[in-house]
Amino acid sequence: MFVKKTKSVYQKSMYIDKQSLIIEKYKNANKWFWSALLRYPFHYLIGFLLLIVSTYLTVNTTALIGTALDYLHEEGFSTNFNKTITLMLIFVLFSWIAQSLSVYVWAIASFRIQRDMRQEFYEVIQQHSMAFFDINDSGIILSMGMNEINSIRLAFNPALRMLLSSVVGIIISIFFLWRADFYIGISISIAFIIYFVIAWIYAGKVGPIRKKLATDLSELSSLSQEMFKGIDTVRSFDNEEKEIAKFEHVSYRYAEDMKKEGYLSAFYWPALITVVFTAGAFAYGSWMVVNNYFTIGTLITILALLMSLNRQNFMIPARLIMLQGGIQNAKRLWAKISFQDPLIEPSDPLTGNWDKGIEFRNVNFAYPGTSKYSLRDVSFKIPVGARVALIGGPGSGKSTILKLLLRLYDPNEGAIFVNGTPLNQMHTKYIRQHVTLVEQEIFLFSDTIRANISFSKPDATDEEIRIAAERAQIAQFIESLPQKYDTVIGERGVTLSGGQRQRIAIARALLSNPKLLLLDDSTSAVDIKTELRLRYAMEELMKGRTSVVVTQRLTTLVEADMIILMKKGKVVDIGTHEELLSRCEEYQFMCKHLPINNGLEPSVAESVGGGR
Amino acid sequence: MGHGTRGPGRALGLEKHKRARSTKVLLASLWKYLKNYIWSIFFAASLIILYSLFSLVTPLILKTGIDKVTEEDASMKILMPVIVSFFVLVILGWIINSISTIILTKINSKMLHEVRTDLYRKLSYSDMSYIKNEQSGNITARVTSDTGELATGIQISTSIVAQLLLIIGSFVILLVTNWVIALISIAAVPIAFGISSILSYFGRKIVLRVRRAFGYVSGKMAEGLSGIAVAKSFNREEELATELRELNQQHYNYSKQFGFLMMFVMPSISALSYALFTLIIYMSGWLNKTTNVISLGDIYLSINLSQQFLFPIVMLAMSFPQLESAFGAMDRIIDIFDAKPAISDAPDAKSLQEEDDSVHFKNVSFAYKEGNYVLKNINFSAKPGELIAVVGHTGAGKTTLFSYLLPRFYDVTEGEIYIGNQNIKEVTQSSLRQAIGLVTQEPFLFSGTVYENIIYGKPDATEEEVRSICERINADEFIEALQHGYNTKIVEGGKRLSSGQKQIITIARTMLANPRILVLDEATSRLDAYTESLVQAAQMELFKGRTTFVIAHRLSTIKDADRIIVLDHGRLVEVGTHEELMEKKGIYQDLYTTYYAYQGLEKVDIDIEELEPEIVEKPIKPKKKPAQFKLDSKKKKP
Repeated sequence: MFVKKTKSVYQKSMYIDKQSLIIEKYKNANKWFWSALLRYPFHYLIGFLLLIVSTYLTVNTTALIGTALDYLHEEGFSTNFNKTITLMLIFVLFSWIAQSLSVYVWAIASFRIQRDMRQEFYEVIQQHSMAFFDINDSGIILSMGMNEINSIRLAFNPALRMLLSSVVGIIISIFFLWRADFYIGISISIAFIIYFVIAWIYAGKVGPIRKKLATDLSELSSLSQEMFKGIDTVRSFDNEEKEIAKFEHVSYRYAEDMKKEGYLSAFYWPALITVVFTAGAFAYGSWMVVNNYFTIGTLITILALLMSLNRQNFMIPARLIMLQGGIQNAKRLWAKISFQDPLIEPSDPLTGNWDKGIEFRNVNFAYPGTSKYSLRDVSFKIPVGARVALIGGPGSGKSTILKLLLRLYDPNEGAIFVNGTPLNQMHTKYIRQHVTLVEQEIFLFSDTIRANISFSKPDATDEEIRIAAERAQIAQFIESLPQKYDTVIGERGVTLSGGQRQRIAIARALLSNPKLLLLDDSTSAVDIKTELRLRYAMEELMKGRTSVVVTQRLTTLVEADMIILMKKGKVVDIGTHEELLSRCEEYQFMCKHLPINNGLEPSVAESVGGGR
Repeated sequence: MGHGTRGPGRALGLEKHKRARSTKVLLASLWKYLKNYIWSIFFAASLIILYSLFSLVTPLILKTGIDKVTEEDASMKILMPVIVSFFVLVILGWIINSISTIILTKINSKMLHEVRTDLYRKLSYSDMSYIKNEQSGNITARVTSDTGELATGIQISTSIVAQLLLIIGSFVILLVTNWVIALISIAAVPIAFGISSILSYFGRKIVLRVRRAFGYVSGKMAEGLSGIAVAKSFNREEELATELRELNQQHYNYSKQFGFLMMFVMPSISALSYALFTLIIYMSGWLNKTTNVISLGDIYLSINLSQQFLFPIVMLAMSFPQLESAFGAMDRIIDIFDAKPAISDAPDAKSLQEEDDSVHFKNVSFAYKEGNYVLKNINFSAKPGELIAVVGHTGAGKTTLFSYLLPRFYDVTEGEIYIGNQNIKEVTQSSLRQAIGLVTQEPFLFSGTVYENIIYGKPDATEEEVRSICERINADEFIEALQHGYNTKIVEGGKRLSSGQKQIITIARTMLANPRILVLDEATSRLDAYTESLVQAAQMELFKGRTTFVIAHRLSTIKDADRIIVLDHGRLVEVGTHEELMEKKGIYQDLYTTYYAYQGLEKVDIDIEELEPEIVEKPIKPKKKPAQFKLDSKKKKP
């Protein structure tokens, strides 16, 4: 009956900027949070109406206690008494049905909100540029996407539902009390207004402490994770006591915060208010009965209503804390959603001609949030089809050049041109269709080998995948696995060696068939077999396209059409191996320190290093 | 009491866990902590009992009031004592409840802190193989969530006492008031229990399913976030989002089942309680017709009491699984307290003397598991200041011998290790580890700044010392280029640093600590060739004259060594200089020609077809990770 097709704000499409879509639609965190009610208005409306009905019926049942007892008192086991009892049972039955349905509809809507908001959050976040991921811990983002979205759902269900049910219950009860006696009605109304104000303040105080407890706990857990992951290091420096002291410090803070929370909940004032008012109502009611203004039934009704209000409302502060927590979390999530990305997609994207050259013109670049320049006044031209080798020490800016070419970042000053078109006038999606980066640290998904290779081309045929694997020198290995291309890798499957991972990444890159290949090949393999396979694979990958390779591999340097030597973010020199070797001191120094010249066989070293 | 809320999973006691110890044993261990607070606990417990009594007496007072009001000669004068005592009782009740909550919170937080730190201390000093075999996440769960669960259990057990008192007390009073009504109320108990058990039976299953689905969503999202750069570079964000959407939808589908269950349970309990008091009123009326004995006050009392014991029953039914899971947590905690402690110092352990840095292995054999020797009968001596290169295939025992046995992370199974003339079993571990510097294969950085990481082994180092070390190994340049230079925070174990950069920092750390004996376990394997050669040059200079063991992975290291030792399948097979070993034409020569000789060479005359087929580094592992980061159903492409 309540089944409805999944309603998601987004439909699949290529170039939708989800961030601006969301921001335009919801404007701010509060609206985003409360928009939940408007996403499934039908459910919430029905749920709310049913809730009113069921609450009205249950309050009425309680109110009828007095009526029934009055009949019993005055008429004994009469028809009126029996009628009242029957009425009460009917009310109970219908309120049961209404309440059940209300709970269900409300739960459905809230689970949908949870699903939708989670999807929304993820889709926006993953469109943020790398600037976002550089400054945000992915563990925290994950926990926001999972746990904090959960807490938003909890704010709607059960928190909001139960709060509404309490409020409706109180209003209807007050209405009944009012009908019984004006003074009781007005004083209980005032009592509940005070009650809510204090409860809200109370929740506001407890909320932050809860938050602090959560932070303390996650700090404890990361301390412990770190200690046991790095146990070798801790022990080898004889630092166990130091680590224990760190932990003890945070654990103590946790205990203190826990105590604070306990003290707050111990002196929970709203509970005192309601009991005092019940006592007052009892005194006043008795006086009214003694003076014959009330029947005894009215007194009992008043007492029963108050008792049942007390019983049902002791959870109000907990619900308020949940609601406030949900709003707080929505704010935190919204801050991530509305991240101001330094990398802006062009509104009117251009396309470039990749068959012409690429140029860096006076590029200055500092990583977002940094004042330190990683690249200073970098200029060079890459002719089409050229093999470019980048060389330099750690921190020299080689890898940064690769990242800029993929437009993971934009230069702060200067520009990168593809046949005269600036890179930042092109859409990142477009650029990445033509440029592929093979990073030094290979990331593979815990999925099948097939899925990992075809990650770059989802519609690749088996044949294409096989050819890519063959060219990457990994096919033979894959064929030797029992499940071949369907072998799952990673935590749940087989562990691959560094060289094997690298070649799978190469196969992946081959399949994407880029115009421009970016390759970070800083570490060289250890043993000859791995080395050799890798070299063949890379050769295949570079064949017939422009490539920029960060490398220390002498072969690559010798064969490069052009070597760019970097130091501290600046270009030191550009030229071929021979040119640099003859004129550049830095390059000579570097070559001297490449392993080949440390080798034991000078004859070989000569043939490579100085052989011209 | 606390106004906390807990997820459905907790309340249902999801983590069914076969306990190894009886409740008695567990309580006995808990006693160790409880006994310090025994008087406070007694005091709090008596307050709780008092509070429960108050909750029973208040309806009685109301009943008396109602009865008095209905009497012919009712006047405020007669009613006054009743009203006043009601007033006093509710306020006193509130105060008593507050005080007991404070006492219990205090005890609970103190105990939690004690258990946690004791546990952490115990783990910090427990056997290396215990820690290595457990995943750090599992250990962390012991320290954080299991201790937390234990604390919750203690809190719950006090409320269970209060609730039991309420239930029994209410029933006794009901029975005294009117036994017929008491019997009607009793009839509601099995129904309430039935509903609660439906909740825990189906709830358990559904919640497990929901959790698993949640784990899949979480796993997918985690992977999407850590692989974001790859997704971006291949334009695959949409597909990843679609995959997430499917899992998300599945999670929703299971959650819906949970919603369905909730729809059944909570409203039913509340309807039951309304139906119950309606029936009580009806029965009272019926009884009145025949015998006319029940006063209005009694009826009111019955209604009130019947309400008072229905909800505690539901609460109780839900508390027991929680209590059980607290016992489970306690059980796992004791597992750790009972676990094998790490090696402890001999009672008469001395400091390691500084005169003689020679290292001697005498008939050293070692097995992680009994009978399964990874090192057999190693005999070898290194002179003070000697540079020893260690070579051998993966799994030959290199790391075990030098990185684990020498710093005494594990004790040798047979034989002895001497430094100078002292058996390392007879010196303090602290002095031993201060003397030995270890750079491990996997660079490990702590959270904190780069600077803090470098001074980890020598907290009192001056800034100049740090900088000069870093300059010498060429680390200064890239550290300065980081966002805040030396004060850059390491996040997520250094995700913004390359593993080479991480490794340089760990090398700087060890160099700064200035150890007398050095173990370099493929310490520069992740550096690029150029940096490596600079680092090695600096190392040679810095560590000149120290006894050094280098587990070698590159030619350049072997070249500088005074002697080379070759390990093969746990045995020391060859010792000597490069030339000597090459002449022997044994394992070393073979290793040299396949592994080391061609490094960095331009041309290799081996045809790719001649290469031996590769093997999987580790075979398919049994499932060990928590289920939530796995996907069970894997789509197979046609």
